[in-house]
Amino acid sequence: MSARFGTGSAIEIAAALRDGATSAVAIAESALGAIARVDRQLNCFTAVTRERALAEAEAIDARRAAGEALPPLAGVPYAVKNLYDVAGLTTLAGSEINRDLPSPAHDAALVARMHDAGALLVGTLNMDEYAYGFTTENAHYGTTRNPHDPSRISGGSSGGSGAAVAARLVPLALGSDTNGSIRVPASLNGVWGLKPTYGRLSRRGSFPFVASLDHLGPFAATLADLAACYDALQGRDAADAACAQRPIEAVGRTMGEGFDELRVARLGGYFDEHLTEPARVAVDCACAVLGATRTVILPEVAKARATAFVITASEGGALHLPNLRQRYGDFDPLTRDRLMAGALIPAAWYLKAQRLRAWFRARVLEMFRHVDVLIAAATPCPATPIGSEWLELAGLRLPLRPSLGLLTQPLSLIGLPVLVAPVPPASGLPIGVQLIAAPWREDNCFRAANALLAAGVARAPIPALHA
Amino acid sequence: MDEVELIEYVDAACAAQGLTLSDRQRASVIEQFGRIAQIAEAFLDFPLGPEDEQAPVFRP
Repeated sequence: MSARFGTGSAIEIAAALRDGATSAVAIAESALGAIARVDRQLNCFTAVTRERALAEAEAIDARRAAGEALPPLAGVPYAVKNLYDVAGLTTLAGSEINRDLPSPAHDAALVARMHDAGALLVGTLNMDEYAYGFTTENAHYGTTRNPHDPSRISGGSSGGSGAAVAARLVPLALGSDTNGSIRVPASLNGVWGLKPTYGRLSRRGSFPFVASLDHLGPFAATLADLAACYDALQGRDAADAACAQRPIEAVGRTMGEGFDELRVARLGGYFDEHLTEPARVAVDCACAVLGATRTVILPEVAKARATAFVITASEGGALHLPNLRQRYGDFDPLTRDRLMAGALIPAAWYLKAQRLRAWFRARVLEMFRHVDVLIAAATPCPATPIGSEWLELAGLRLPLRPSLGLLTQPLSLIGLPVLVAPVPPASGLPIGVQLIAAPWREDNCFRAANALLAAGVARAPIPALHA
Repeated sequence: MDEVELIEYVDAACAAQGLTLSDRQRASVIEQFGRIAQIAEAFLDFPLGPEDEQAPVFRP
């Protein structure tokens, strides 16, 4: 517990409520108070849903008073990236333009599942406009600052989600990941994050970016909370065309079953060439704990990353083309010209990218016959100063903003499940490693993560806010 | 695609898409499209067979 930030872990909170040690209303008030005190420094939240949180809390308290069994996340505060529909609240997706849209009548599918699990929605969180960025430097709603060093970025595009969890404003948050937008902020803020297999979680009621690449998933400050949240989010949804309609395959009970029989390898080549020293140290540390003495080289990773870049630009540009014609000036300067250029991509380039994507997927899946978990850094470097334009990497000067996704993009391209484990150094800024499994084997990601946790190398460090 | 071809392509594609740009916007979009074109070069010549179909499948 870290009472000064208002929340403990989700599992601790739910247990305290069940035991009668506190009430859901008291928990909600505590979280709302922490947000009011701390978020002025960080700018994680774009809306605080005080009335809704208290109404949900009162309903949970009433159920407890009536002697009902409480759902697994009863009384747990959480928040969502502001591209999730929240009934009665306009879905901004980080934009000014969406302010003109009517507010949704219904919650997004995953918000509804969190409600059913007893959780309390305390607000919506900042992001890059339309999720097209890795830094959460938003011209309309400001920059979300990193709780470990507020002069630095929180990553993106789910920067508000990563920073709010790192600052212990909420124990859980939901985000989205098209090219790395859960994994990059999880790494830079030093928290746990999960991008499940493409199609695992329903995207109904979330504002899209790149339909063929968009994933939703959770952030948490503890691994057990990440598992509990992920398990609460799973399930079929016929209303989402991309949902794979899988049964719930819970990980909470299996992640402690050990990893001895798991075949673990390090991703080499491209993934080893794009690392600063802190990232390399984190990967070395994870590989040592998990016994990853073998290195695996994926074929044509740089080309795969290039296809993700082109697919993203093309689908994103096409999605926003009507507004690019009518409301160019209302877009964020960091996104509008990239979207417009993307809308001009020839169909033959886009289709070649999709075909190479299928080629890459087939070859990587073949490799999973011989390995269960792959390890790579989540970001090339820890959090950089706000406003940075360039990254020095392997002797090259690269544009920083797109380069933060160098290590995540090739993996989301083919929909693999990836769990980011925070592996912080003894001192200095946190950074995370990706634990990558075959499609639908999120359970292997969690078992490997649990081994890192048990060895004491993976943990979400508490920032020195208020110190 | 050389620089002249790239500029001509952006102008023609913007006209086809109904996008009207100021000089400043045009310069920025040309720069961004140039980046995309440079990145796409990495894979446009990669040999694929007719059996390498794209992944998404429409399921009626």
